[in-house]
Amino acid sequence: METKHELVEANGRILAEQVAIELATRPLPLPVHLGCSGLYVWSSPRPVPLPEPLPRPHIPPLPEIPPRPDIPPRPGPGPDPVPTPAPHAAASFPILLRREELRLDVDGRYPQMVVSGMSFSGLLAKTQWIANVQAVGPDRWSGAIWYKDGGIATFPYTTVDVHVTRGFLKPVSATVTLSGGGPARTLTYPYASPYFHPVEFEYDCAQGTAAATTVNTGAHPDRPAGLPSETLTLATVYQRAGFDVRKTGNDNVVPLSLSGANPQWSNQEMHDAMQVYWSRFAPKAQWSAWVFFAALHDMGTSLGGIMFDDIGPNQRQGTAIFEQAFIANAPAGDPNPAAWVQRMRFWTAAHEMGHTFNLAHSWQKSLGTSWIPLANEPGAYSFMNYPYRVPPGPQDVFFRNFEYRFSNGELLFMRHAPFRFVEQGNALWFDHHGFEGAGVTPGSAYRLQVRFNRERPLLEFLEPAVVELKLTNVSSEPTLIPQNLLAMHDRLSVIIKQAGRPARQYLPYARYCFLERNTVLAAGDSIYDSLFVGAGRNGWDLAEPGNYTMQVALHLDGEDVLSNPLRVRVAPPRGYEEELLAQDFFSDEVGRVLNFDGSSVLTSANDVLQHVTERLPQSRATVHARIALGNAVAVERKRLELGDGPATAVPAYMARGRIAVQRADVTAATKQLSAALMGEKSVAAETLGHVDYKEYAVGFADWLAQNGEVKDATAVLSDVYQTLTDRKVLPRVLDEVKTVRDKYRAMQDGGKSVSGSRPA
Amino acid sequence: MPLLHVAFKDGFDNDEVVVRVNGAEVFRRAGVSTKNQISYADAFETDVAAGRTDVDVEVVTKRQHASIPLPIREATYVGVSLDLNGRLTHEVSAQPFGYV
Repeated sequence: METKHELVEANGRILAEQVAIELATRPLPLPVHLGCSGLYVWSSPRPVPLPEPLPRPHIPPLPEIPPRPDIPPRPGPGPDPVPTPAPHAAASFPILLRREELRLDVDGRYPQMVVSGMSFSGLLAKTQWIANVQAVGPDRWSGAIWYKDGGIATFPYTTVDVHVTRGFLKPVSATVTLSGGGPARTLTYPYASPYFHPVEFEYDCAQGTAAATTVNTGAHPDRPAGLPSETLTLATVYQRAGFDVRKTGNDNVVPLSLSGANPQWSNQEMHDAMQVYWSRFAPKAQWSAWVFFAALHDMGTSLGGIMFDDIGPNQRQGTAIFEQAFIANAPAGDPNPAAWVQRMRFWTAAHEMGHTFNLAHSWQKSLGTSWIPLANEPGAYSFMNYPYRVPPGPQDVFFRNFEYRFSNGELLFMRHAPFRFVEQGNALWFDHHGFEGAGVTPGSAYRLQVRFNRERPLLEFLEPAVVELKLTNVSSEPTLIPQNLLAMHDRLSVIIKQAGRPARQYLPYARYCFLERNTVLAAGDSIYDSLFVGAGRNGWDLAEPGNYTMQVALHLDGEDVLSNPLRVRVAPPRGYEEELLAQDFFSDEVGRVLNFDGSSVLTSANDVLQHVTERLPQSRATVHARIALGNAVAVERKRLELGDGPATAVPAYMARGRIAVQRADVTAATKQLSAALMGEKSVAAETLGHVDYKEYAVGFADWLAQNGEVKDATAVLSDVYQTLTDRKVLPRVLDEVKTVRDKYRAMQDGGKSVSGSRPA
Repeated sequence: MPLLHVAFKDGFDNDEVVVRVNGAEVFRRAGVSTKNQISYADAFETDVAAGRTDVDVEVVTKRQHASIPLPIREATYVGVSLDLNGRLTHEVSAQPFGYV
């Protein structure tokens, strides 16, 4: 006879429905108050039926392929079942003109006080938004929208108001009013489910092992004082996280012959087993995961489980738990070793299944390729933390506080993030996982913009990327911010993602430490700075031809001010010459020379840049190369010389090192800097960015004046002034240039000289 | 002689790693990368004489170096990671590490 929990798993019953049935058979203490959270779906009333299928030509059947002797037939009666659609999948259905989904998350288990919406056109998700809300009346919530994704140009709204209409025992509909940024829009969404997404799990076991899909939460004495004692299933864990969980398959037994000749499994062997034994296996994204219980991994007892499916385009669909690993060894002196082991196996299974939803470990939230920067949660009592890693340890501290749940950030991610980041087989593993924990503050006083100073965000091949950052005080009050805020790279997180590839975090070569003095940013005012993102310690993140998205987060006053996502395209090479040069150009040394505006010691990089100026004189890369080459010889530079140097590292004095002076080469510097800044001036302003172009040009003028060329300095500044005027740069910037120009003009007229500066 | 186990955990990305124990190179490997789903990249074990042991870890590709002095009497497990800023961090345990 099936237990209640088996029924829950087998039939995919939802908790709220069970409660409703139980309540319906008992005397009711009125008024009944059931939750409003869940999924609401509105769809266009005018479906377009699919056309009749066209008659198909006759195709003779393929000859039958004999079974491979090393892969035994699937257990169970009869042949392989006919593939069935994934849960809630659209079978042969009319194409909906428009569909909108609303996820209301304000009560029930672990409410996040969030409402999110997603609109579809056909089968494609078009726009997604998320708002933090608070109750403003009975069954009514409102709040500010803080996240938008997709076609946001057609979604100007900034606030949302949701009013739920109740029926008997469950909601009927949610009326949503979107406002701000345009005329208000109201739409009523019929109630669809108490869950936010569907998901299905299939549990298979290697021969001789058993699945750990349940735990008695009261069996071990180390537990939270108020934790209800119950038999918890993996399905229930994920139902409480907001998923309509269904179970697929027949609990297959996977023969050991698939693991080679031993009971240990490699990732490749498990991947093979998944393809053969998982009834839902398909090379596509689907809300479905295969959970495999085996004895040991090839790594031995140190690996308790792994989400092994991180190869190919459809990752995160398979995960495994190893019952004979360290998770089977209770600590010495544990008061209930059997309960400890069962709890650890169950926890491991839920943890590995969490990875299939793209959840990272609690201490990794800020690592890797997070889309929106976020804080780590090293002390979280979550399925995604390691019990033995939570400070102060040991692991019984974790379990004394562990309530068999995910952290709020993880729940926000699973319930409301764009589903392509979460759904199994969709975004690659660890790609976009960071969405969940960004400290984004709704209604921030600041707006951060990242942009290129050009009409179209298109970079030439080999062109180092320089973006402009603009931070605006959008509040109605003046605010205090640190001086040089946008130059403080430790406050900036920059994520760059090439289409179809994992996102990468830009890591600058240097971080500048400024004495933190605050300055006032008046309401409506902005500050600007440039950011060289061409190359960093991570390499050249914007080098290969293709489409990229970049986003910046500024950490300020405990919040993350997120920029707009900036789309940029890197053009393919225009010929063999560029392809050939790229092999030497995209190196760490060239990246450093360009980042630091020149070097007198990285001579091989200088040679590459010189080659670029000669072979590709019209390219934008040449503008950057000339700046670096010119600066390297503009003034005397000191450098440490070690002669031949000993083979092993010793203090410089022991190697008879000396500081040598490299003399300036004014002629060469003038040639390079003049060509870079005064040649195609508008191109220079575009590729260097307005901020850097002005800095370089004013520095160049100062240097010319210092070398007695006051007339040339005046001419340079006049040209810069005109170029920046044509490019509609802010008047205050133009005034700065004009002031310097007028100074040199006066000196020129008075015959005075200058001393002092470097070109840039 | 006691066992010294050195594991490379978080933050490695196609890195070359060199480990010297009391000045002698005992491990060198290129292409060390963390599998983020288990926070594990690589590991090796060696026997060392009981007593003070200097473990030097160098991540050549990231120009990072850490010296870890250890008073070793019994099996010792050292976990090395690179933090978000690319700096080496380490942990020492008397128990084997477990990964999930």
